[in-house]
Amino acid sequence: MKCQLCEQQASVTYTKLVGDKSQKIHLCAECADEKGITNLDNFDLSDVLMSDIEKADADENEAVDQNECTECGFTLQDLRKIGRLGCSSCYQLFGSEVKSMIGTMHHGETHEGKVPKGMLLVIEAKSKIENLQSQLDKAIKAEEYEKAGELKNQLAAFQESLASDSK
Amino acid sequence: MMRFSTLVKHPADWMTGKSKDNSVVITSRIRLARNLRDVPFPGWAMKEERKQIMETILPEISGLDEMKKGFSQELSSLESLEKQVLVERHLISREQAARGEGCAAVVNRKQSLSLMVNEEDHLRMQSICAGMHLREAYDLLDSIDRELETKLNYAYDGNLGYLTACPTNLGTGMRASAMLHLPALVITDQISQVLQAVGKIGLAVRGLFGEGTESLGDLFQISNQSTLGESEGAIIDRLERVINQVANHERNARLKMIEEDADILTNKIGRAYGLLKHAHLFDSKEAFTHISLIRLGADLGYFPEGTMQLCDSLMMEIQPAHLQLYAGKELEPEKRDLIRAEIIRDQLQNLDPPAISNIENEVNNTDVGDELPIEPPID
Repeated sequence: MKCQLCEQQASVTYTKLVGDKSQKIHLCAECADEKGITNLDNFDLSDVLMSDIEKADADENEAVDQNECTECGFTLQDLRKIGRLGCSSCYQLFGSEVKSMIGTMHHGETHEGKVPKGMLLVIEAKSKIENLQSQLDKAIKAEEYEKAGELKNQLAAFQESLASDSK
Repeated sequence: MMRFSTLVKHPADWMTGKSKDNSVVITSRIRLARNLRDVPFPGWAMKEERKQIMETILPEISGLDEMKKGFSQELSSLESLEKQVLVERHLISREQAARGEGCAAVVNRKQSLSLMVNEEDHLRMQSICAGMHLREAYDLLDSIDRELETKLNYAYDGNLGYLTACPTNLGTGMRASAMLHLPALVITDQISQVLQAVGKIGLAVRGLFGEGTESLGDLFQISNQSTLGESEGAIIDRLERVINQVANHERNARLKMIEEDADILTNKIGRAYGLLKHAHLFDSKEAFTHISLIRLGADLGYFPEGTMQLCDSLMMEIQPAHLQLYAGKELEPEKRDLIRAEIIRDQLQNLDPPAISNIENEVNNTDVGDELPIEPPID
């Protein structure tokens, strides 16, 4: 373990409890001395430690939360244990893990086969919206407000028709 | 709606397909895996969720033109013996048979299409036809799939294709397979060499009932393993080429045996015939071994037309669930052996002994290498 401030070998681990989660900070003896952590009488973590350490720890906590699929509650541990996924959304969350599994079992990594018709429509609709939106942005930038208004109406009408189709 | 009793009374279309050549490639099958978006896959879903998924899918698939007047049942309403019969007919998987509430099977009247709800995936569709016809089997299933994709919200990703519970089925979600009868390759000890070659190019070889089952009656299934990175057409093309090669090996081995070792072959077939006609007890394995030889003999002219179909239906009827259904009760394995022998004797009672003279004619008629065809003597 390296010191999180200077890359030297860490010899001090400081653990702080925040709510029910713990934050760990590893420091070398020198840095720990410098920050006053070894002198237990007078220090406060939030004062002595750089904010990016806290940020790194916060990210780590977030990463732990993201190990569970929001749609179905499936976890990375489940995937590793049973080799299957919980629902179609899991594929987004565990994309990199799945990718590493695919390498050895398939001919390639990208689908070359059939595309469901509904999916073609979705893809087309998406590109149409993007197209209208970029035209709209341009028109606003060029201060062509009449044209912008017209495009805005078109966009709204198209989105409305999509919404009613999907009902 | 078709009742279970009606379904079992009638053989599947592929078993009666007399016009098609299925002496080596018995059946071609295509399976597609599909799932609904954003609902847990069957293996991860709670019972209530599974039921809901079934209620979404079942009306859509039973409503398909192809499936009308077909068989449609929730698996929890079937006896375990009945489920086993469907497995033996290759209409549902062994895995599906082990499931209950919230799972269903829909089969069309011809028994050429079967759809499983909440197997490993929300929907697994299969088409089966006689002979080497993977393309036709695919086209049939594809038309069903295209109709369903407008009604069901399929889980699909631009890069990964159809999203499946197990990453091994990603992409096309398609497993194409053929069931081959390869007795000559087994007798001439070429089988392991051929199957190893098939395995090396990334195709799977399995026994009669798929994964982890041993080969009975010289029957082997060859299927694709990779489902991602190639189109459906490319997968089928590759598989077709390999299967045709294996089938040609088998045909050559059959011809060579009849040319070079006719006596040995005739002896084997004659003994199989004698045992099947007169034995009193048969376990599955032994029965399959002998029926396999009769089937081979039928292809080579030892038996009259229709004998091959007789063998195919016999191979179905002597399996444990079919046999117990025939007996009308559950039976201990020893009792089954007795009934099995009875069914075989009954089915073969009108089958004449192998016609050896036919074979000799056939050998003479076969064009052997560079030799000139035999011509009537000129006087």
